[in-house]
Order: sequence, then structure tokens, then C-alpha cells
Amino acid sequence: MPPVSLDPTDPPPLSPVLLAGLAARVLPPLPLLGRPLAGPVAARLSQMAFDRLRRQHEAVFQRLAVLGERTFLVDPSDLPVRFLLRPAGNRPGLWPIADGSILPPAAATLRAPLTALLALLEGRVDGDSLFFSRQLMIEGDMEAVLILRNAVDGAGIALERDLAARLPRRVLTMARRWYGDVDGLLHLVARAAHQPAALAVAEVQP
Amino acid sequence: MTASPLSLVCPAGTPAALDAAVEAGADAVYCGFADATNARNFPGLNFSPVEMRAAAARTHRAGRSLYIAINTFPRAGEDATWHRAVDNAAEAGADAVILADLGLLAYAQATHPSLRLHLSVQAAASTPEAIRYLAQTFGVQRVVLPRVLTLAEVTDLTAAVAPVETEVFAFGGMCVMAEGRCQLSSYVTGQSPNTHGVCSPAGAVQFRREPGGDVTARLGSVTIDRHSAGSPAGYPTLCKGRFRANATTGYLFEEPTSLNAADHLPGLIKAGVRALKIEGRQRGRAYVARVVGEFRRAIDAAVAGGFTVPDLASEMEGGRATAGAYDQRWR
Repeated sequence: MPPVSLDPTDPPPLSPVLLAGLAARVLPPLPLLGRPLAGPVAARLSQMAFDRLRRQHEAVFQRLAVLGERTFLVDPSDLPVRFLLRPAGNRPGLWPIADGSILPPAAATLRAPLTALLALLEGRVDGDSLFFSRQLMIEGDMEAVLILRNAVDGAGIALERDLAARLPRRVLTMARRWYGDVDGLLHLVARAAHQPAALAVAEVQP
Repeated sequence: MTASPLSLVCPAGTPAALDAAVEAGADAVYCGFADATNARNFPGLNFSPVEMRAAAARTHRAGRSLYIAINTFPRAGEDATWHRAVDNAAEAGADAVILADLGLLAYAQATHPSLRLHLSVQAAASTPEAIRYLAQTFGVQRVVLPRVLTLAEVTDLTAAVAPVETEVFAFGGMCVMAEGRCQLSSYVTGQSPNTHGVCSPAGAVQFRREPGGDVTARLGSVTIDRHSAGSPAGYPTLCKGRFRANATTGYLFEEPTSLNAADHLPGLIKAGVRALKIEGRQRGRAYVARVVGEFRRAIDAAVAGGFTVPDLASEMEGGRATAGAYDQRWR
């Protein structure tokens, strides 16, 4: 993934997720669909996914008990929605928060493109590497972030297996292929868009 | 796995990272207990005694070795914690313990005479006299050399201390201070890697995004860096802080960068170095799998007289690498 700016006014990398996020923001009638995203349906789906992960990775959540009531604001930079995560405490859960809503207080904020956040959740990428390249922005309680990161990294979470196991294999294969195709196409577009700037730099440099 | 003259010693902060290291081709994996007895005492990291026993069993089933780092210095009146760690390591079936403190070396030798002793880099032993003394007195069989020696110095020292084996760092965090003696973290936070097992404890670190998009990093009450959004970052340690002095802003001690000694593998094999160490018990299993795999291929190629260049730019602090003191351009 190319480096991404932390400034929320700067765009995240071009990806299918970003396109989906932009579509949800601007295209009628998608903004109307965006509202239920933060509504009861999305809240129920988020909580179901969280509960399922909690059941399947009990040992990890036991490790996270030391967090107590501490919460995290998880901010996929390419989507018009954020999530409030409370991994432990009296009322653990995951709640979506629509763009423009008042943000609840959180011990720490993690901001990155959705694909980077999912890769981190599944331990497919190293958190420090994402941080070094500024693809991951962290603010707030670093101790809480490290507890969360280290527990999750060792969990062996695999979202496809853990959450989508009941979907037909053919649907998953098609979805993966479609995402890969669109992502490849967008990378090509991004490279083409950068080409004039790269040529200009090449002319200036000896 | 065929025996190589250069053993690949790899980090694991979690059981999952240990499995990743073994799968990627580590000859030995080093771990620590989840307390102040090791120099990577970070929140949520490391092994309980039960997890360590299971880790030793899995490592041995795969035909590899498990080393346990107990490489901090016991705090006055609290040595029972460190003694218990040595006992737990012996009970877990560790192939070696990595120690720095003289008293702990004496305890391990007296209490567990068959336990193999490695000297941690935290002991900062860099002369033949010091290493020979530790070998003769405590039976130390391997010494991890400080990261401030040139390749020529490593070669001379390895020859001078034989049959004591030498182990050197090949990749990862680049600590430029005399390890085991650095007090920078302690100066600002009250905690140091030497006695608390943690440099720049997470509880003292704060990152804040400023209105213009810049990010400010603070350690305790000290602002240690402020950088523009998108510029590469390093660990929030004082030695990698950027400060303003005499109207110039810059890195006073060290730029954020990672050690990468891959280019020196043929020289290190020729020098008779016995083991190559990858730093990074605080890193995730993706880092462990990637770096260990790349170095496994690089070592095997070097042993066969060939050469491969590990592709590890994405794993490096600040996105940059240095050969450190090995090539003598840096001291």
C-alpha cells in the first residue's frame, strides 16, 4: 500500500473501499442508505460479528480483560463510518457511528484504510510497520493500544472463516475475485494519474 | 533442516509469533516471561510459565531450540522474581537462558548447572578479557555482541574468545547506546529497559495530531518529535527524537532506521560468528514470518556461496536501513 496522509482532509489511497465510501457519501439515493448503516440494522450486525469473534476467540478476550471499560474509536479513513469498540468490561461490544455524529470519548483512536485495519485484525501485517509508514495513525492511550494489538496479533483471527463460513464458497470466491479485479484496475488508474508528476520530477532531477 | 554454520535466532513476543518463526525457518526462537525480567516488557506481550512450557514443547517437536531472555537487572530486594524466572525457564525445558546480571549468572550456574548460559547484549561485554572471565567463572557458552562493533572487531573478538560462541544482531531496531547502561528512558519516564524491561513505556507515550495535520510525539513531559503527515516515523524514544539546537532542527542521536546486516553475511560466516539474531519481540507475527523467511533464504544462499538481497523495506523503522557499525561508516 502507498503511504497515506494522516490529515483527515487528505484522501486515503484509491481503492474499492474508498469508492464505496464516496458513493455512500454523495450518490443519491445512497446517502439515504447511509443512514440505516449507522442505525439499528448496522448496530445489530456489528454486535453479532463482535459476539461471534468473542465466542470463537475466548482466550484473546480473556487477555483483553485488563482493559476494563476502556474504549477505542476505530476509524476506517475511506468510509463514512467509524466504530466504537469496547473489548472488555461490563458491556463489551462494537457500535457503528455515522459521519457527522458526535464522537463518544475513547481511550484511543486508530485510523487507517479499512483494508489495513482488517489486515491488522487478522495479523497479516505488522502494526509497527503500518505505523512507521504512517498508514496507521494512533492517538491516545498507547498502553491500551499495545494490549489490544498484541492480543489480536496472536489470535489467529480469520474473518472469512470466523464470520462468513456459512456463505457458499462460490459467493466468497466471486467476491474475492471481483475485489481483486477492481483493486488492480484502480491501481492502474492511480499510476496513470501519477505519471505526469513522475515525468516532471524525472526531468528536473539530473 | 541441514546444519548451517550460522544459526538463525528469531524473536517471538507471542505464541503465534513463535509458531511463525519456526515455520519460516528459525533455528532457535527467543522469548521472555510477561514481567520485568526481560527487556521487552510491553503490555500484552510475552509468555506465562504455562505458555512457555507449551512453546518449548512445540519448538522441540519441530527440531528447533528455545532460548529464554531474562536479561534485565534485578531490582534491589526483588531478586526472587528473577530467580523464579530462571527456575521457570529450566522447568519449561529451555535450551538456554540469556542473562546479563552477574548475580543471576551465578544463581543459574549454582541452581541449574546443566542449563546453558548465553550472555545478553545487555551485559555490553565487548573485550576478550570480559568474555573469558564470564566464561571461566559462570560457564557462559555464547555471548551476544553489542551493536557498536565493526566487522573487523567482531572477527577479532570471535577468534580471541573461542570456544565461546559469538552471536550478532542482523536485523531490526538499531540501539546506538551502550546497552544495559543507557538511562535516557529512565531520565524522562523513571523506567528503563535495564531494570523495568521497557524503553519509553507505552504509558508515557502520547501522539497528537495538530490542527495543520502535523503529528506531535511526546514522551512523559518532553516533546520528542513533530513531523508532517505522511513522513516516515520511528519509535518514540529519546534517542530517535528530533530537537532544535543552535537554530537547527535534527536528530541529535540517531535517525529512525533499522539495522540490516544482510550484505555482511559472507563476512560474518567467514569471521566464525555462530549465530545471527533478529531483533523484534515487540513486533507482530507478520514481521516475524517475513524477516525470518528472508534471512533464512539469505543465510542458505550465503552458505552455498551465493547472495540474495532480502526485500524488507516495508518492515523498517523510518523506512530506511543501515549496516550500523559493521561497515564502519557509523560510530
